Amino acid sequence: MDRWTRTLRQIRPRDATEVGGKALGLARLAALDLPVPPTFVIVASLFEEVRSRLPDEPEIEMIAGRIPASVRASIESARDRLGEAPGGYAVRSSAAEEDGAKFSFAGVHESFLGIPREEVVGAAFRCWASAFSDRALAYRRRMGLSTDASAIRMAVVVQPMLRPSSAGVLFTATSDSAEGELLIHAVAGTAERLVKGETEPWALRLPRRPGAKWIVPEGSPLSAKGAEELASLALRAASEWGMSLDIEWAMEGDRLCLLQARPVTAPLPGPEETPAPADDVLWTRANLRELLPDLPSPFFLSLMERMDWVAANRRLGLPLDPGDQPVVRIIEGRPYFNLSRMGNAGARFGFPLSRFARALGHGADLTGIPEVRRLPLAGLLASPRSGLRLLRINLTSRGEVLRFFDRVHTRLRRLQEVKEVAAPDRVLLDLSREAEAHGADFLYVLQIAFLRVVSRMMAVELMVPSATDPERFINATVAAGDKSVSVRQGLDLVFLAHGARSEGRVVQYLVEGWDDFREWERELEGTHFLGAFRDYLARYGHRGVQESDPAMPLYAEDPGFLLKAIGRVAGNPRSPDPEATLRTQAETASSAWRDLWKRLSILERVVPVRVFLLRRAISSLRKAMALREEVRFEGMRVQAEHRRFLREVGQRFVRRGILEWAEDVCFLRAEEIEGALDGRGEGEDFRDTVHRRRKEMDRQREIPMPNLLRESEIPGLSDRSWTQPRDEGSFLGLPVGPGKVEGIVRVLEGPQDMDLVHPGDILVAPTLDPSWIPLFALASGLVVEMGGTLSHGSIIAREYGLPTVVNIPGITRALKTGDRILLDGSAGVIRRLGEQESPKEPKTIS
Amino acid sequence: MSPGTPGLSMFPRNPGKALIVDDEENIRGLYAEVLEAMGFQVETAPDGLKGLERIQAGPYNLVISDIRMPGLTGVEFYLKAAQARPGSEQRFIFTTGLIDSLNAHEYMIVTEKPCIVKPAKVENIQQAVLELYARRDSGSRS
Repeated sequence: MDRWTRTLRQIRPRDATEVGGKALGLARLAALDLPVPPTFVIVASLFEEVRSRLPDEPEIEMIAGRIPASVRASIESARDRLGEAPGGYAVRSSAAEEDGAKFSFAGVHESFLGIPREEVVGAAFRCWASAFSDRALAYRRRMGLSTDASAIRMAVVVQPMLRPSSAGVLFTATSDSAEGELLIHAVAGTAERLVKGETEPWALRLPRRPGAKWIVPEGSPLSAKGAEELASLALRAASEWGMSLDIEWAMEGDRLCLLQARPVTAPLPGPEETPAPADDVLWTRANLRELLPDLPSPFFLSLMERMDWVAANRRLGLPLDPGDQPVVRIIEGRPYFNLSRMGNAGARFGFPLSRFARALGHGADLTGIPEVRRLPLAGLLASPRSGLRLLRINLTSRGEVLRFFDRVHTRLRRLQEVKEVAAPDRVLLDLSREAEAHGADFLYVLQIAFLRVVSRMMAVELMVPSATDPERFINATVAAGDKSVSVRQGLDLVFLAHGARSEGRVVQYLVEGWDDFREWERELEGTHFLGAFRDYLARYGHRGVQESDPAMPLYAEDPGFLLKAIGRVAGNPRSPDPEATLRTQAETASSAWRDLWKRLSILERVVPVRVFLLRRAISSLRKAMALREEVRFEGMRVQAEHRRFLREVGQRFVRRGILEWAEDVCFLRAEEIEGALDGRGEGEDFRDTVHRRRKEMDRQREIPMPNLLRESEIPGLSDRSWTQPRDEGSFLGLPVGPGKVEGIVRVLEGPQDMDLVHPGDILVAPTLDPSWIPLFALASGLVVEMGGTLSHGSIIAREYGLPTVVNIPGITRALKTGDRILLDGSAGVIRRLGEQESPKEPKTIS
Repeated sequence: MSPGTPGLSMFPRNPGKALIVDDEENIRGLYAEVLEAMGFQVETAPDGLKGLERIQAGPYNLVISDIRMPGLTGVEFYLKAAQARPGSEQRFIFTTGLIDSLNAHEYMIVTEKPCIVKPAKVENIQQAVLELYARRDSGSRS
C-alpha cells in the first residue's frame, strides 16, 4: 500500500481520521460491491508531513509547488490508475469531522470540479488549504472544534468527472405513504440543477408490493431498466445499513453510480412500530392540534363531550359503525377522536383509513394500520342512502356554506344588540346554549367545506399524469392566484408594517415601546397608522391565537400581539417584500405547468383536454380551500360575540364570590356554569374546583402526548417521558411550500414566542394556524411537526409562499434552536448542516 | 404664495402640467391656486374615473389625488394610472384626512408618497410638492 494514497477498498473504519468522512462513506458503499465512481484518497498525514517539513513557508497555497518529487509522483500515479478522465477530475475535501451527521462543513471547505490532469496536485493542496481559511476557522470555533493547526486533519478525494445522461436522488422510504414506496427524483444531465432547486425532477414511484412495476413515462431521463437496477442497489444498501437512506446517483451511459448515501430517520420510532391487534382502537388529535392550545380549557372540553357526534356524522352522510368506545374521548386533558370508527365510515366509500389519517396530518407515525379497501361504487351499493347523501352534500356544499354565512350574519345582528352588562342571568344562560348550537352548526359546515376540498383534491390527483408527483404539482399551482382570507389577514399585517416605516413615530413606538401597548390609541394619535390599524381590527379582530378554544383572548381584546408583530416586521429592513413573494409564486406555478406540458404525449398536446380539465380542477381546488378558510373566518365572528358574554359571566361569578378571577370561568365545565346561572347550584363555591383543575393541568402538561394513540398505550401514558430522537442528519416530510433555503433553526412552542425570532430564521413548530402569519414575514422557512396537504397550516404556508415541510413527528425535539439546516420545500427534505451555530443571514438558493 | 417655505426659490419656473383629483370643489380650487402660483398649468377632475381618462389622454408632471371619492378610491385610481401610463406612480401625491381610516394596503401605498393631510395649509401643499420633486431627483440619480 502506498503511504500517501488509498483506494476505497483499502479503507477500514479505523482510518476515519486519516481519510475523512466523505471517503469513509464511499468506502462503505464500495465494500457492499455497490458501484461507486473510481476514487482515490490523499490521506491527511501527507499534508501534515509536508507542512512540518516546510515550517517557514507562510503562504499555505505555495506549499504545493515545493513538495518532494516522490510525493508528487505518488499522487500522480494514483491519479493515472483511475483511468480515463475526459471531463477532467473532481477534487473534494474530506475532513475527519465531516461525517455528515454532526458537522457537514457544507460550503466551508472548497471543492474543485473539472480540473485538468496536470493541476490535480495543486487543486488537492488548495482544497487542504481551505481548512485553514478564515471561514473554516470561524466555523470550527462556532462548532466548538479545535482551531489548533495540529488538530485540523483533512484528506482529499479525487475522482474522474462523470458525464451522466441522468442523475438524481432516490428515497428508500417516503413518509407520505402508509404502505411505503420507493421514490426516485431524476433529471437529465448532472444533479447539480436539481440540488440547487432550479429544475423540477421527474418523479418515479414504485409501490412496495410483490410484482409492482415502475411506470416510466415517455421522455423520462431514466429508463424502467435503470430504475429497477437503481432500486435493487438502493434496497441492498438500506438493508445492509439497517435504515432508510437517501441516495445520490448518476447514470453514465448504461453504467450506474452511487455518489453518496445518507441515513433518513423517522425521529420518533415509538411504540407505533409494533403492529397492534385489529381491535386496538386508534385515537387521533391531529386536526385538533392545529387550532387549539395543547391543553384546551375544561370549558371547551366539556362542550366537545356534550356534542352528539353520532348524529353529526349521520347528517354528513358518513354514519359511524356501532362501537362501545365513544367518538370523542378526553385523554390526559387532550381531546382525541376515535379514528377507527370515523375512518371506517370513509373507507366504505373508497377513502382508505390511512388516506383519511394522512389528510388529518398523520405521517410517519402511521404504520401497521388495518386497511379496509373498497371501491367507491361498492360503498354506494352497500349503503345507498348514505352514499346518495354524501354525493348530494358534495354537490350542494357551496350553497350550504353560503346559507351558513347568512345565518352568521343574522346571529351577529341579534347578538350585537345584547348589552352583556344589562342581561339577566336567564338571558346569559340562553345565550350560552345558543353558543353551543352555533358551535355544532359551525363544525358541521367546516366538515362540509373539508369534504369539498377532499373531493376536489381527488379529482386533481386523477388527472395528474403518472410521471408527475401530484402533491408537488398541487403545491406549486394552488399557491398562486387569489389569496384566502387567512392569508390576506397576514399580508395586511405586513402592509401595515411596510407603511409604518414611513411614519417614524409609529415605528419608534412599536419598536421601543417595551412591549407595553396598553396606551396604543393615545400614543398613536395623529398618525395615519392609527386609522389603518383600527380598520384592521374591525376586519380581523374577532380572530386570535388558537382561537377555537373560547378561553383564548382575541386580537380585538388584546391587540398587543399584533402591534408587537408589526413592530418586529417594521423594525427589520430585511423582511421580504410581499409583492416579490407573490411574483415568485406565479413563476413557480407557471414552471410547474410547463413541466407538466413536457410530460404529455403528442396526442394530449394536440387535443389538450387533460390540461384544460386540470386547470379547471386546480382552480376549483383553490376556491374550495379558500372557502374553507372563509367558513372559519365567518364562524369565528359569532364565537367572538359569545366570548363577550362568557367574560361577563366570569365577572359576575367574581362579584358573587364564587370565582377568584373572571378568566377562571373557562376552568368550569359548561354544565357547572349553567347550574350557577339558572340558580340550581346557587352558592356553590368554584374556587377550589378551579384550583384543583389548575393543578391537574400542570401535571398533564408534563405528559408527552402523541398525536396518534392506541387504546392499549393509554394506561402507561403518565409514566412516559420524551425520548430523545436519534441524532441523525436528514429528515423526510411532506413538501408543502416549494423553494430551498439554508438557515438557522428557531424552535417555537407557539406564535407568542415571537420575541425569540431573528429575521431569516427557519421556524420549527408543533403546528401552524393563522396567528403564525405575522411571524412568516420574519422567517425564511418553516418546518412543522403536524399537518397534511389539506391542513389549515399547510394551506396558509403554501399561499404565503414560504419554503415549508410539514409532517415530521418529533422534529421539534430532533432539531435544536441554533442548528443550521438546509430546507428543501420542494422535495420535503431537511438536512442538518451543523449544530447550534450563532444566528447568521439566511441564504436563499434559487 | 408664502415665500417662507424653504426651497421654494429653487423650484423650476415652468414645472409643467398638474392634475388635481378631488370630489370637493373648494379643495380643488385651493390646490389649483397654490399650484398655479408655483407655475403649474393645472387641470382638475371630480373623481378617479375622470382622472384616469385625463391620464390616458396625456402625461402629467404632478398628480394630487384624494383617497375617499365616489367611484374609484384614490389608491385604485393610482394603481390603474400606473398601469395605463407607467411612470405615473412617481408623480403622485395623496391628500387625506387623518380621520379617514385607510385599509392596510392603502396605508402602505399612501405613506410611501408625500402626503397632504387635510385640512391643509398652503405651506403643506408646497412642501409636499417640493418633497416629491426632491425624491424624484435623488431617485433618478441613483
